[in-house]
Amino acid sequence: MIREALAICDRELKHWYREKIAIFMSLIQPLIWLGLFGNTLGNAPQLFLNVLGAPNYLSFMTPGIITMTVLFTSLFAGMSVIWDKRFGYINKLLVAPISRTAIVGGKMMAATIRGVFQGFIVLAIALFLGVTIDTGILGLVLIFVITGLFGLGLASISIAAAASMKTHETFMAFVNLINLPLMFLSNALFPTTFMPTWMRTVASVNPFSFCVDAVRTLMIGSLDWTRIMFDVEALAIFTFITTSLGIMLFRRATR
Amino acid sequence: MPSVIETENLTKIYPGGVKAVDNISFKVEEGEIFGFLGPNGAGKTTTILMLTTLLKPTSGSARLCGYDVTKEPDKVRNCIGYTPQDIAVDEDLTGRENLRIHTVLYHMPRDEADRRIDEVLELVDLLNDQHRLVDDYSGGMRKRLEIAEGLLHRPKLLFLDEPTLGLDLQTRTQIWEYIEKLNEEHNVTIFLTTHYMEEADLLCDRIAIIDYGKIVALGTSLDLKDQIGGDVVEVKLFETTPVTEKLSEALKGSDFVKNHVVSPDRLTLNVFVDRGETAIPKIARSIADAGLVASSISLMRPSLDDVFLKYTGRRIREEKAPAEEFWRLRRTIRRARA
Repeated sequence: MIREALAICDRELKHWYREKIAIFMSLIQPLIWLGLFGNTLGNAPQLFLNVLGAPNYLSFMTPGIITMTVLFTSLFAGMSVIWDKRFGYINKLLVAPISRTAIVGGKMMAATIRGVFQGFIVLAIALFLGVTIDTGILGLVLIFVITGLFGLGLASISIAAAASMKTHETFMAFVNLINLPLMFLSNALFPTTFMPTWMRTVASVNPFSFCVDAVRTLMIGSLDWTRIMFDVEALAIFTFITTSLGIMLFRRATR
Repeated sequence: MPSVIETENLTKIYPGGVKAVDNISFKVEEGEIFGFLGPNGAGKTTTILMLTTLLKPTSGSARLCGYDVTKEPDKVRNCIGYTPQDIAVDEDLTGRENLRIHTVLYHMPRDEADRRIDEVLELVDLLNDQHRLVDDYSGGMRKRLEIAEGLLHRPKLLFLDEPTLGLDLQTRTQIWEYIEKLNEEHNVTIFLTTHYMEEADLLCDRIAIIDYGKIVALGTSLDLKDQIGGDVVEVKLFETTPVTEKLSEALKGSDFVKNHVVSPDRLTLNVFVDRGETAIPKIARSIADAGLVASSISLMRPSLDDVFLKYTGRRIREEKAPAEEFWRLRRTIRRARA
């Protein structure tokens, strides 16, 4: 089962890294966020930065943009399910004597790897722009694990949705429906203390917030284990639920 | 020895009430090339999808290699290979990479997989192109790769859904050769669907003719033609003298004529008789008696098309459009994707 999932994952990754232009293009948006939006608050008063608890706004928003990149990348996992349906490739996978879970697992794995990889390029760019990781190498490793967990959760939601969809138009509509709300109803760009109460309530249960919070703690804070473990546990629950749902719905759609 | 395929009252009704496959029962024995012949939309692909475990039958049952398709799908999947109608090889991978994934899906050990990939590549003449992206392959090459994929794991039974749809004559001939080679040298039982008469005639040991989801005739090509019996005399008339009622009446009244069919433009007449040689002079006389003029009279053995005509009252349309349509759609999608 693992071997089959890896073969399917490998196929997805080949599609991805052979489209070098597409990888490059997908990095333009986070670059604009970091380079332009990150600088719009370049002259923010010290009081504001004190509230953020960050040396500058760019350092504050970088975890948000990394998480956003993971979101936008991994949320497209379902697209490959739609294409495989359209081209009939899915039938070849389904007619083989392998578990459906291996098929869906391979696709989830690939989307997670893509998300984490793209997120890390954004992180590298931010480091280049002067942002630092206060918790060092251990922090970097933990960021890797945390974004991976979040990416897997998103890839699973995406596949759960794509399982019963037939066209990429429907799927795109679904992605557009959930990506921006997930991002704006979170602590990605500003602290949730700035928000009206109802928004803060939503943001406090938004899995996006947990990922940002954990990464942010590691980048401009300290190894605050209580806080990090709380975030990781929340993400683990989220990912467990979505992964189960993704596998279940895919299995049901393909019997 | 159980049959390789055995279906009993297999039926598929799609949501909305369309009866795509209607109560079909048949057997395919080991080593056969079995053909499913019928026009587009007759239920051929639906039957294949049910036999390959991709679609649940509404009722009835099918056993492949002794296993039930709904109860033991994994065992069925281990025993079959499937080459879908739409060419679905992965264009963003090379030929060899496509095959490599397949060997993993069928649990082949790595060293055996490499050997086997070389074998099938040689069989379909793609050794020299194995490291090129499938995107650069021609339609015929893709189809050959698709067939190679279906063979990799040495299935006892291979499903070929319209294997030559939309290909040029030269490529079709090549693919026919591969299919025969597979069947004879590698002893693969083949279940093939087609709407090309000559394909079924040339390749298949037995043929089931399917129309509106029902099997209307089943047997060897010769048997089927013999059911029509004897010969077909085809008469072409001059444009000024189309077939008249008088001639039809005369033919109906003649005891040597078993049946006759007039073309819609009333200029071609097919007369089914026992012995063509002796019938021709009599038919010629009837034509003269009716005051008509024939431009040619030829003697033919009945074709599968005549069989289809007899059982359904229609001819199988030789449609080119769907294949062209398919390639156009594919190009559009690719552009949209890039």
